[in-house]
Amino acid sequence: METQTIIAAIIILAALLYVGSMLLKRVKSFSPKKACGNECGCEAKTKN
Amino acid sequence: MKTEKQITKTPTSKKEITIAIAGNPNAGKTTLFNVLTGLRQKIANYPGVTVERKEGIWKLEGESLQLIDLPGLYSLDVTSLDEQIACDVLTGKVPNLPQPDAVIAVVDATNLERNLYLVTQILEFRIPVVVALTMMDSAEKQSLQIDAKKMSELLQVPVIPVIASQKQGIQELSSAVMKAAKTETLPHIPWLADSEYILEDDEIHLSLSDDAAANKKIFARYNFISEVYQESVKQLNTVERNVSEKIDGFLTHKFFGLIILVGILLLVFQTIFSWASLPMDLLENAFGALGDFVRTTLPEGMLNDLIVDGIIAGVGGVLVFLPQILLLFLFLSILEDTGYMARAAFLLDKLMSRFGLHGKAFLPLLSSFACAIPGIMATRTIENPKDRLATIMIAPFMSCSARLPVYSLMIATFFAGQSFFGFISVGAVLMLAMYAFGVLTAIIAAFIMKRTILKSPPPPFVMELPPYRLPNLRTVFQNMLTRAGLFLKRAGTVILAISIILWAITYFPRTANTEVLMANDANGNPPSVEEIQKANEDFRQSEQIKNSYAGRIGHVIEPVIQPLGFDWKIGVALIASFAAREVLVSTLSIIYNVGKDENEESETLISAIKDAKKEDGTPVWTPLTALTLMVFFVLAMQCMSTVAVVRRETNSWAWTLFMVGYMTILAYIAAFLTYQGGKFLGFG
Amino acid sequence: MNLAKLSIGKEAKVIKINGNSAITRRLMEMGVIPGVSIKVIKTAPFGDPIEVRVRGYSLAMRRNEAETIEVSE
Repeated sequence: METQTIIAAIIILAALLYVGSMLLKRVKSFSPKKACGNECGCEAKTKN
Repeated sequence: MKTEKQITKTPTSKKEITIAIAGNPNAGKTTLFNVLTGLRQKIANYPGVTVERKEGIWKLEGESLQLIDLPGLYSLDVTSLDEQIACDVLTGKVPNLPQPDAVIAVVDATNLERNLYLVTQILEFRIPVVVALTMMDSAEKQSLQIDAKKMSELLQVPVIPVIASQKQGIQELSSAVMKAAKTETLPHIPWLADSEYILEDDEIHLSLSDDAAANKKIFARYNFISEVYQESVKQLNTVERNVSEKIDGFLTHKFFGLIILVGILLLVFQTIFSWASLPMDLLENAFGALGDFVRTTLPEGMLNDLIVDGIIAGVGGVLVFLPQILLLFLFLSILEDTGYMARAAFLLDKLMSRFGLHGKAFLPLLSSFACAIPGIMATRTIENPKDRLATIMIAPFMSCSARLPVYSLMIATFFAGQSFFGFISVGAVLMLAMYAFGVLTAIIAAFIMKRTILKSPPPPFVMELPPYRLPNLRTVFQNMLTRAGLFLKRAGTVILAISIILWAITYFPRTANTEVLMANDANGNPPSVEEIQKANEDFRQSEQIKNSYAGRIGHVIEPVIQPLGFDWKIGVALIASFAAREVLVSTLSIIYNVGKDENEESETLISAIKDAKKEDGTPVWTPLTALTLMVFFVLAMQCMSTVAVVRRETNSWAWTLFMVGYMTILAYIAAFLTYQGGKFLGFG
Repeated sequence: MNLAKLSIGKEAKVIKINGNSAITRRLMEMGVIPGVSIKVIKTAPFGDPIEVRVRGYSLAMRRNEAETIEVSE
């Protein structure tokens, strides 16, 4: 195989890996925030 | 509340000192933060939530201090998410972020009483406070004489007047902060300890019952503040209407106010369009030249194709729009910093409430013109969940900066150089029309939702109208710089990776060389060898894209988008642009570049779009196609990041899917009507 | 009488705030508490909201909110 082809293949693979990891991160960030921890005001009722 | 007896805080063994910087909105907090940290800042998110967290390094007496910029707040009473974050930071409940050793409270000297209210609340957290008194020059103009020393004695915290833009008082502030951070004594909070500030129950003239204790605290704080104010501030002589009020007379005038508002918006878009054109042309030529250079320098092969057709075309195609995005952020930041944004909300509140929107929704919606993500995050200041949800549901209709490249490309290709009456460019009007179309759709959607699925009584509206101020140039430019950095980072990561993958799916599988049969020309001469070679190559290139993975995907969805006048190449671009809207431009660059004859002179994307032909020889793109694509982009939910943020902010898949669904359906219908209607009327 | 009925340019003292909501609390935190003087500056183009001056700064609120604030001239 030509050197150019090999380098191109590596770059494409890297791009795929990057987008894959990004997607995984996004999917994770879709998951909801955990219930109230010890944050202040988290349980405060909203009045209106 | 802890008692006064606890007077020492637990000694800390850690080396790095953490300082938080807090203050009311418009008190000059950002300017001070920028002066203290210079360029050593970073923007991240608080874990679990999407509030922007700004941190910087403050070099002080040979030590590096961690400086945290809290969101602008009026109180720490936790009715909004911003207040919650601030409260979490001050109590040290944010993971990986130590509790601050001291807080710099930025206090606007022209608005002392309300600004000091936050100071009393911070002191109740038992964290040492240093007050940075800003806007002293404005206070002087209003004939306010402020005795900082007296105020310091009464508050029992250091009070340092600063003029951040001229770096005055920074030295004094630094040493006071250093001392405060290392002190072992806890601050005094006489207003909660001393009965003279606390009212008896029957003195509270309120119909509140369950919140009586909290209200008593509010009164005690203000009673204490009034005392401090009376003893340390003198109004020398009564001033007549100051400059701010005079300006306000015009800008919020019952009739002229609205005309001025429309005028300002039109001017902003006209300027974004005309000022940016020169640097954009330069950038475009530079990327073209770079592509040619690499093409000829590097030996022929796959890597050569990847770099030129994939990376340079894809990333360069998006980077060209940097000047426009910078200008958009410049104007947004000027409108915000001068105090005009609040006036716009004031002017439009009645109108917005007719459609069931909160006046406070104005800021999130306006931020959404930069990007829907901070816009949706900014809805956290809206207390009522239904009002907040309504605002989130319509925020992506505001044309964000990522849509700007798409509009620009379409306008530059088909409507450049045309004008109405000789001086108003068609481009600027069309651009404004796209923005207006998004706003109008948003209003109608809000109107319907607030009367059906999100029914609730009219929302309350209480908002400060800050005095008009000249924006601090340093802050404005730093803001632009940060945004430019974020944009470049995106271009260098997400867009780069997607460009490479897109190139790959148009490049593979390879189509073998083919033989084209050519007829003799009109005079009966056989075609030359060069002509046959060129025809073979052209045919191979077009077959290549058609048979590539991208081409196959495009052909699958073509029947769906054909009624909109889009061909399969636009279809590929539409799918790719779900990752980020500006990827549409990259994708078109790549598709048209891969299909381009390599020996040809480098042509711009604009001429490639103009020259693109269907198989029957008719042009793919007409002005009507361009308009249809723009209309589709105004309404379609083409942004993965926004979907993720909506999921997190609403905490509901149902609302998220509802939003993606109704926006996509609306976009399709509107694009369909545009294209078919246009065709019916004889355009395109 | 309530703040919404106060005419433009008039100054009055806050005597009572009616209501029990986050917005009542917000008004008080912004410094609108009994005893403070408050002045109506202007109304927006469509008659609502109104701009008032309290503790030396400008505050905008809707007539609905202004109606919860009782004042005396």
